[in-house]
Formats: sequence, C-alpha cells, structure tokens
Amino acid sequence: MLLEWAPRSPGGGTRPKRSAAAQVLVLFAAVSLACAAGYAIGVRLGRPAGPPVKPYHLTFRLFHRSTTVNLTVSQLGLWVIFSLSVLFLVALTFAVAAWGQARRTARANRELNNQIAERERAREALRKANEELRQFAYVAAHDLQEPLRNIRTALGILNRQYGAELAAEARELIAESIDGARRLHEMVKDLLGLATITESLAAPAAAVDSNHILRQVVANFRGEIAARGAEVVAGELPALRVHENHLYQLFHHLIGNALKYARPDVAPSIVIAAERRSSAWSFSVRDNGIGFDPALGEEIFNIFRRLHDRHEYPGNGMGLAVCSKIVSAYGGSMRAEGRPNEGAVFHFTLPCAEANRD
Amino acid sequence: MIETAVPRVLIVEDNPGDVRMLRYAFADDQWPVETTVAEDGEKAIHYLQRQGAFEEASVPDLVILDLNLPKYGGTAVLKVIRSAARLRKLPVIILSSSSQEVILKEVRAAGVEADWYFTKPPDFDEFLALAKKIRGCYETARRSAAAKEH
Repeated sequence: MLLEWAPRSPGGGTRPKRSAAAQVLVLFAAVSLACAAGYAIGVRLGRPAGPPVKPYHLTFRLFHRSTTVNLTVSQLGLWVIFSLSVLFLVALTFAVAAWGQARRTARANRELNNQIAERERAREALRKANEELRQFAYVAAHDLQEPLRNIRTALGILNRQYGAELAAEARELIAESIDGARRLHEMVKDLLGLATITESLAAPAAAVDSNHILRQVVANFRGEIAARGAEVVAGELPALRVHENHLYQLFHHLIGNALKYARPDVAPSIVIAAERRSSAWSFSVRDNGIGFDPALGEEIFNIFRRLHDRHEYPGNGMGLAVCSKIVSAYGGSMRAEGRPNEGAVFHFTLPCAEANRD
Repeated sequence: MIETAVPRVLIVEDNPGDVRMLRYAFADDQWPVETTVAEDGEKAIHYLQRQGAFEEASVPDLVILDLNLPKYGGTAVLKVIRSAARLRKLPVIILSSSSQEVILKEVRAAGVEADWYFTKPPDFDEFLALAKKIRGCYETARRSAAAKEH
C-alpha cells in the first residue's frame, strides 16, 4: 500500500480506496510541490537548495515553420511548470476517477431501482393473488354452497316426499346423489378452510399450551378411542405461538388418521412427543396402524390424495393437506415416515412460544 | 304484535330452493303458517311499508331475513323495520349462508339488531331441525309480547 488516505467514516466503515495509479500520481505531485517550494524558499533565503538558477532557451515552431516563439525560462520556472503540469494531471486523474465512480454509482442506483421496482411488482402480484384467494374463499363460502344446498334439500324432499312411490333403483340413485352432494359440500368446505389458513395468520397468535389442545382433541375422540381400545400417550408438550384452532386441527387430523388407519386386529397406540430444535419444536405423532408405502411419503400431503378406497376408509383426502398447509404457514416443515403394516410417524415443526413475538 | 290464528311469516329470500325447503320444513313440523315471499330487499321494504302493489299487506308476525339480497341488502330491510314505530317490535330472524360470527359482524356494523341469527344448514335434516328452532323463536316472541300486553 502506497498511501493510506481513506479515513474512517463517522459510521465506522471506510470509504473505498483510490487506485494504485492515483496514489502514485499524488505521491509524485506532493514530491514535486515539495521540491519547488523548497527551491523557492532556498532562493529567497539566498541559499539555493538545488542547482544555480540558469536560464533555458526554448524555441517553439507554431503552425508554420517560419513562425517561431522563443522563450527564456529560468530553472525555477521549469519546476513550477512541471509541478503545475503534475497537478493538472492529478486533477485530471481525479476528475476521470470521479466521473467513473459517478457512472458506477448511477449504474448501481439504476440496478437498485430496478430491483426495487421488481420487488414492488412481486409485492403487487402477491397482493392481487391474496385478493383473488379471498374472493375465491367468498365464492366458495356463498356462491358454490347455495346451489349445492339446493341440490341437497331438493333431493331430501324428493326422497322423503316421494321415495315410497319410487322403484328401489330410483331410491338408490337418490341416495347416491345425496351422498355425492354431501361429499362435494365437505370438499368445498375443506377447500375453503385450506384457502383461509394463511389469511387467518394476519391476526397475531398468542402463546398456547399444546397439552391443553391435545387433551381437547383426545376428549373429542373419546368415544372412538374407547370403542377401539386405543391408547394415546403423550409426554410433556411445550407452549407454542400458534393459533389455537390451527393446533387443534393438526392434532385432530393426525390422531383421527391414526385411529382411522389402525390395523383391524391391533388396538391403536398413538404416541405424541416433542423435542426442542433451536427456536422451534419438532413434534412427532407415531402410530401402529396400517402404515403406507414409503414411496408415497410426500404424495400423501397432496390435496384430495387418497391411498385407500373411500368405502373402506371414508374421508376426502384433505386432512394431511390441511396439516401441511398449517405447518408451512408458520414456517415449519412436515414429513411422514411409514411402512405397510408397520405404522406411520408424522413429524412437524412449529415455532416455540417465545419466537415471532413481532 | 297482532295475535292471529295462523302466524304470518314474511320470508325475504332470493334463493327459491331455500324458500321451498323452509316451506317444506314448516309443513313437515306441522306448523300451520301463512308464508309470503319477497325475493329482494326492495320488495320487502315496499311490503312492510305497504307501498305500491302491497297497499293491503298486513304486518307479519315474523320476518325471516337473508342478508345477501338483490337491490337492498338484509341490513337495509332491518333498518326500515327498526326505524318504523309500527314495525319496531317485529321479531326478526336473520338466516344467511355466512357463519354466525360474520352475520353478527355485518348486522352490528349497520347499527341494528335482529332477534335471532342462524346460518343456513347445508342439508335436508338440519333444515328440518332449523324449522323447529324458528317455530320456537316465534313462540318465545309471542309469549313475550303477550306478557307485556298484560
């Protein structure tokens, strides 16, 4: 490093250093100035610091060979001219450097502005997408449910009022239609629930005791638990910063699945555990049910994805999609492990109570 | 409220399927009611204010009011009811597709109150159960009005 001339900025950072060429020029200019000044001072004090003053005769030919300019310059004059030339070069170098810097800054500003504009466009696209989602939720809640309700009530009246007069096959068709309309209603309702998960995060979540929520879910399944001789075992679970109904849905779907997909000859056993991982808790819900093909570990989280026949295991294949959506809405992740007839384990992470207070 | 042998129910509803189901459910419950239907908010207001074609209309004993209606919404109809001395005490049931929470929010935002709020049931059997609840609401309102008269 030739010269350290980049003072620390008030903020503690340093300004960018000048190029080596600029530093050489400055050094050279400083030395030249010092020589000139020293020589001038020496002449004034009667003690020349350099060689004696000796005039130089210079002849310039201008424009035409016959036009000449004769100059007589002293040695001091030459030093001054030289120093001024060096100063001029230094100033020129700085001007060029400043111009280059200004161009680079302008280009950087343009790029930054482009990035900001791009982000604004992305933000606007996201806002529009959210608005469309909200409109979809409204349409699903009202406009789609109304004709569905009409179908269901009309079929109900037909069945009740005229069922006795119809042939057995006609009654079967009506029953199938009623069941189809019911399932369609459930699917629309679940889609609506799925679409509004992210929207519901707009309200801040309070700390919630997951032991309490789990007890509520288990109480809700107590009839089925008793009927199947199932056991639900849970260690001490943590407090989380999530919406209560979201945690309820998570446990509800996972425990409901564990009960539904139990092996026919084995009493269901469900074990829930949680382990602290940095600012999140990693939960696991393990069962001893029919399990699943490990190759389908990711697919089972897809909307309306079912691995089994509807008549054998009723449902519309939305439960795990809802669970996955809830977990990802909180920045967590969810995965499943399983093997046929060896049970399944569902892992998911959720933020702990002291996280995301903002 | 005027006592009548057969309760007069004004159903303000634009979905014919819901009207049909309500009528069927009242009949199934063997509740003899005289139903009048207004398919939009404007008709309901004209009926209640005895305007135009409804000059001879009598005051109903119960109003079943949807919120999402053509022309004037349910809250506008409710405002008319609550601001007219002749209609103010009319028992009103809000029956909408929205959840109870959303219904309450919308009605209260308009600065009015209904007497009962129900969400339209999605299926036939639940509609039958709703008809019984509506009948119960009417009986409660009738008893309350009778007690005040005495």
